[in-house]
Amino acid sequence: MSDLRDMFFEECDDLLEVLSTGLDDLQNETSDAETINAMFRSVHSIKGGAGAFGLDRLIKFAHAFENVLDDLRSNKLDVDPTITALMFSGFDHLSDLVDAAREDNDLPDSDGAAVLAELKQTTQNANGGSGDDEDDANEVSEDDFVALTLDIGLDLGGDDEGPGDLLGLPTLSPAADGATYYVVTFKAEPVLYARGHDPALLFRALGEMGDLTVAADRSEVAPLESLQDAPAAISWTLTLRPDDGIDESAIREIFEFVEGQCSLTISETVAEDEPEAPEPAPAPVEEVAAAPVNTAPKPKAKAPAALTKTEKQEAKGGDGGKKSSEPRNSTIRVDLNRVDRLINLVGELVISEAMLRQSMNELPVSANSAVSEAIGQLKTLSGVLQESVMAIRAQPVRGLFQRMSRIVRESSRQAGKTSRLVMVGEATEVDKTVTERLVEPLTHMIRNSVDHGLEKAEDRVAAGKPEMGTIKLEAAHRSGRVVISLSDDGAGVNRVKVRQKAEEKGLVRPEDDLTDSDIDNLLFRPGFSTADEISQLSGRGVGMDVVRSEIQALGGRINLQSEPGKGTTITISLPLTLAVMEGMLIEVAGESLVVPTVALRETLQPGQANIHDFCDGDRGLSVNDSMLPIVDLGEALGFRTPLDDFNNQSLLLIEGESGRRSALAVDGIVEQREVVIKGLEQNYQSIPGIAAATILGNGKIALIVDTDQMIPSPGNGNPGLRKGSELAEVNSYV
Amino acid sequence: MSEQATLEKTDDRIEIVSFTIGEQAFCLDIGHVLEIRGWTSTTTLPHAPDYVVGMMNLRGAVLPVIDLSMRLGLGKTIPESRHVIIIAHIDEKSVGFLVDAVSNIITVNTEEMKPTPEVSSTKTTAFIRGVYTLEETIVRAIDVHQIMPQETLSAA
Repeated sequence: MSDLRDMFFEECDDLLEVLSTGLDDLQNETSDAETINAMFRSVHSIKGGAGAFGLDRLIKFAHAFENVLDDLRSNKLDVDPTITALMFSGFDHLSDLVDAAREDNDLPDSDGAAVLAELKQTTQNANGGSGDDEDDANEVSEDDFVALTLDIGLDLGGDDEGPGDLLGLPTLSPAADGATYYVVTFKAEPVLYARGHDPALLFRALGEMGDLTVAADRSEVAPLESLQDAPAAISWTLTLRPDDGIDESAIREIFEFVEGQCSLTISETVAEDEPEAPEPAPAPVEEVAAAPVNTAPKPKAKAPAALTKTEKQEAKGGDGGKKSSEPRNSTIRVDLNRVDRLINLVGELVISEAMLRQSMNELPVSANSAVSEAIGQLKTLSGVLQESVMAIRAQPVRGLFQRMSRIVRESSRQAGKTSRLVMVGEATEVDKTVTERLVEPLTHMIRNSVDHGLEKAEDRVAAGKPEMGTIKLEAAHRSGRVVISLSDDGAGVNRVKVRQKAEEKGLVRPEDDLTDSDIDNLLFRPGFSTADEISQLSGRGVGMDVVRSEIQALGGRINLQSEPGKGTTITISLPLTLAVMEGMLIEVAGESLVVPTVALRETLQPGQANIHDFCDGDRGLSVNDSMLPIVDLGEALGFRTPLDDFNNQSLLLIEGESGRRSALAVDGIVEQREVVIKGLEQNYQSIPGIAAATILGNGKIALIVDTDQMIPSPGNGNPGLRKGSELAEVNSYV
Repeated sequence: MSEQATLEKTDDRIEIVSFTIGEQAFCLDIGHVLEIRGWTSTTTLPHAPDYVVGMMNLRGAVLPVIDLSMRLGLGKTIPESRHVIIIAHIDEKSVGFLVDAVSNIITVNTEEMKPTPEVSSTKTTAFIRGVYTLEETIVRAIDVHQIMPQETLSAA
């Protein structure tokens, strides 16, 4: 049961994503007829699933939501901004309900009550204020079934020709009180009887799910004189008022055993609040019994009509998504641990392959071309295999972004601002772990953007900006990393205020000389919060420093750029995969190191280089009219004392995230190769200047240089170096 | 040292791996020890504490090797092939301890552990949990949690 439950909630996530995509399409006016159908199906499926688990609130809400979508679908309602806004709120509450149900929590009753009422009101208005929840509601009563209703608790009669028993019992009219009804039509094929099934037992099981009314249609029963035993002529119409937690799939389950042996339709209707249409008159028992042949033609005439309608509904509404013929990619759900195990194994395979290749090369003459050809193929294959395996974990960031669109709406409402979220590059694929762990930091960043970034409406108008603020969330692959940026068109960082605050909190001294970017980055310092009043949204003092540490834990970097009056952009750069990369194998001070190829722009030999000396032994390299700082890798990593000259060095021109460049001086360049990334944090800790490690073909470990930390930034010194000295201090203690 | 000290089987009985560094004997709870290997070359780490020899490759896993002698303030070990690395798993991390030689696996009663003498060396009190006396030999019980490389500030 718990497995099923988990599966339901996983499905809910997918369905909510479909719904959210549809909402976005509606908002951006890129929707078509199928959009609303898809949305309807999603909500309907959630409702169906919720029914199976007895999640009443979810059912109720999904039902109201679904009705509005249905009205949209049947053009009783038009899509306008009010409706879209209502549906966004509806979506938010629906996700809340799903989450609450998943966690087994109960939301406060007041939550979503307004949205629910509004949804209901909308449906009501759309349906001419008649109070009709759904137009199909009347179908049952309109149709002139002689609905002879039976108490299923009574003996239905064991024999197949039981209509005689079925008739003649007091009729229970379906209570019309806005509840959901299921109308089931059932006609057994002869084979059903032949296999010893008994409809009465099925009905009895159905009767345990709620109040059941059963009507038999005997119109096809041949007169007694010509009666033969073969054809099964009776069909039944059953109206079920389900108990809580019963849904269509539960009903279907009952008939599962006779699948294919009967014709079965199940449709769902909602009775209105006041009984309107005349209930089918409880036919006097005697009359019906006396004149079965006379009453028969009526149901016969009407029954097809009813069927058409129910079929239509099935076609419209889908059948809890199960029978929906909508083309979809077929997917399977796999335990993430299994995928990870596969990824690890493939990683090992790639290492073994490299080792094999290396030992082949060390053989005297690799004369055997067949072997080297096979090894070449093995290399290609293992590369493709690795890529494919990594792709399993990759997921588009769409889901993540859509969650954020909700955060924007909520925080805007709470902050009393109007804003919209623009998403770019939602299809960008990122490792699943990364998307999951980005939720918290992104949420925080968005709240900050709305709360601190965007100005109040009147200030915006005064500044000549549109009243509605724009928050832009953008994802892209950039040189082997994923870059996610969040920008707002707000006022930008108030540097005077930030500095003042930082001084008050003792984070900086008044006499410190700080660049604009230094001040901006004070926002990432622990315990910093600029909001004058602590708002509900942000300003709890756990601010951007938490965001930054979370991003760093993912191997990412975060960077803030702000332009006064124009807005603020926060850029997060993350590794694409946590497993492989292209690297340049180099040698420094007798150690083998790897420089990621993504950062590499050019390699230079000393003869080509034009090196100039500056203060404190700093050196610059003039390349194409610009001067780049030279970083001696051996010195930066503390492997050796500074070199006197770079005559025997090779220079690697590298470019960092920020676009800044520098030249790394190394002893020698060995080769370019693919390396498997092995984290250092797992068994040790992160090391300044080093991103990770890898294992070379000879089994030795080579460290992977963190190129970004090897690029000195103005006023910041060389982070790698600076941290080295900090470390030395720390280590001198014990 | 003898095989298997003959002790009453109680719940307090544990097995320890004893090893030597210079003239001194130390021990680890066997529960922490994964395997014992001969010396293999390591990759030097930049900005690492002096007691971290480097990183070693253990069948595809990358783990740090700690010079226990240096860590305990007994002087730097110049690793040779006669040295031994004890691979241990402590606090969810795998680590290699470089020691001179592994002596024995002994069953001891934890109640027999005597407190560390109150000496002034912070290293002694921090890293040695107590001592066992086994046939005239003092075996120092290492506090595995303290001996691990301490997380250094990792500001970016």
